[in-house]
Amino acid sequence: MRNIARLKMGYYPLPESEGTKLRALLSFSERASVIDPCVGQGTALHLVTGNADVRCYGVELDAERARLATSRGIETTQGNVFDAVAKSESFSLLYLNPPYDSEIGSVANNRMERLFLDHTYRWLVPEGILVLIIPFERLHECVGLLSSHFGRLAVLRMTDEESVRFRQIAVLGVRRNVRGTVLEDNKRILQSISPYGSFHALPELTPNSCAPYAVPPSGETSLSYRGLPYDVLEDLLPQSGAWRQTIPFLMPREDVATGRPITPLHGGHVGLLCTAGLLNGVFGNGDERHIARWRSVKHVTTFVEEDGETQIVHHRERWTNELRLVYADGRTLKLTETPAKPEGEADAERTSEARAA
Amino acid sequence: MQNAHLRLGLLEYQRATEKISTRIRVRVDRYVGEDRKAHLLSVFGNDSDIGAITAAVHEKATFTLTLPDGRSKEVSLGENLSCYKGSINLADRKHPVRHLVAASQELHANGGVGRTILLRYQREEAWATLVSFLGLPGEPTWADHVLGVIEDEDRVKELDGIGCSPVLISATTEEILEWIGDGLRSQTLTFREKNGPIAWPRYSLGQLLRSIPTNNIPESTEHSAD
Repeated sequence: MRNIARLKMGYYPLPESEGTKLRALLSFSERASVIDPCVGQGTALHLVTGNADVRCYGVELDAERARLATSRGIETTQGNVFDAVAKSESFSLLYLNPPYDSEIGSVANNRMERLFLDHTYRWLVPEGILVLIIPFERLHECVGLLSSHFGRLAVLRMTDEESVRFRQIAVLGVRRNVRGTVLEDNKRILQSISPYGSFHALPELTPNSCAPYAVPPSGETSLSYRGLPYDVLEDLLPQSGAWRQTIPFLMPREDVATGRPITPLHGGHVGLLCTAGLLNGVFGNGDERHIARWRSVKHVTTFVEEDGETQIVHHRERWTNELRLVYADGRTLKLTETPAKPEGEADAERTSEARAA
Repeated sequence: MQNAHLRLGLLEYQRATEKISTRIRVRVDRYVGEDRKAHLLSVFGNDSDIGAITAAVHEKATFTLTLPDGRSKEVSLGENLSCYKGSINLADRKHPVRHLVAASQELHANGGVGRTILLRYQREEAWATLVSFLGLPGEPTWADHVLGVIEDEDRVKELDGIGCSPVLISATTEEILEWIGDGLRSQTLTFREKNGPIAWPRYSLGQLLRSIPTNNIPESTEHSAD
């Protein structure tokens, strides 16, 4: 998918004129449940079912569009359609205008048109009606599913300017278990249309392109969502205990002791506070005015022990304190128990706060 | 925020033996990486998925990471990594969502050997972090001068990120001390008037993680030296 299409999340709504033509090809007699798995703002579903007595259901990935669809009377589930579950054979009409894209996977990169159809066609009741809007070039990927699960197939060319730009076709069919010679006939007809046929040779979608498809009645149903609510989780994850444990190496830590002690500190107290980093700050007067900063440093001493022909390498770790000073006149000083390292040698390993604790 | 799926990455682990083939995919809410090396990985999913990913991480496995823009790359956390686990309870679910944060050895010793990784780059925050991790004597008001020198020296490198805009600052304690010394000698930097402890601005990880990823590195430092 192009970047511009990604930004729109593959949202290319059905032109209004084409929706009106599709409505003319459908006849509703009794109350029915209808679904659009890529409902968007619900405009197309309302066009296709205009003035019919229907219960509308939809799935939409985009939160704002899902909210709009809900406000228009469509029972909308916000999320990924592949995590949405409906009872088999519960909808009378499936209006499907999927994103024209490929899945991103390391194993397979199937077309979304086929994946969406595969996931949702089972939701149709026997004799339920499919209205599938796809680009002409993608029909051949859906041939297997269409020919074995749908009868009375009609493939019609859409003529709106936007539809022509995307070479959109409407495939209408009736949900049936197709077997034997009928299945072979279906396959042969669809394969002759795509990929070898011509888009412009297809019959045009008009209100009289074919005899109307009768949408059967169906009862009330529901969609359930088994996916994770990413929007909610994104807000909650920063509170996870796992993040709290990462603070020592992601966030600065500043331990400052303030206030006056009850009794004067003796030398031991001062030493402990210094090495704990609690007496960092500005000290001294005149030329000796400086900022002091303490830190703990791990030192590793490596020595090799010879045992006959065997060499045993020992790494001895110990912790020590280091004081860095910077004077007001620009002098800097490093006070440590070990002598200064030769130039070019790596800095001592910093102690992570978690480990130092 | 809405439409979180647009900001999340996808981590895929695949392993095939003679008899068993395993393929696990979990969502990534935060990632910090440098080429093929992952420094920080935050993923969530159900018990079994997160359990399997944890085991794979400890086995130094290589994962396929898909970034929100659709690009994919192979990443690994390397040796001696650390794993931290948490869980999130959701009102309408019986089982909590499991959360795993894995950190590379280098990130766990952040600031060591003169390499400091930050989840986002803002001068005041970056300076406070460098002071804390490198053990530098300094004042909060010196942030602009020191980070200005660091930027001029091209020591700030953008890293790959999901849910954050991480950077790597390459500067040792000695180098920064030298720059501070120069600043004090030229009187660009000054000491405050009163002696006593220095109060540093406080930042919480929650604030950092909830912030919208932005990068404030001046354009001139985004390009490496010729």
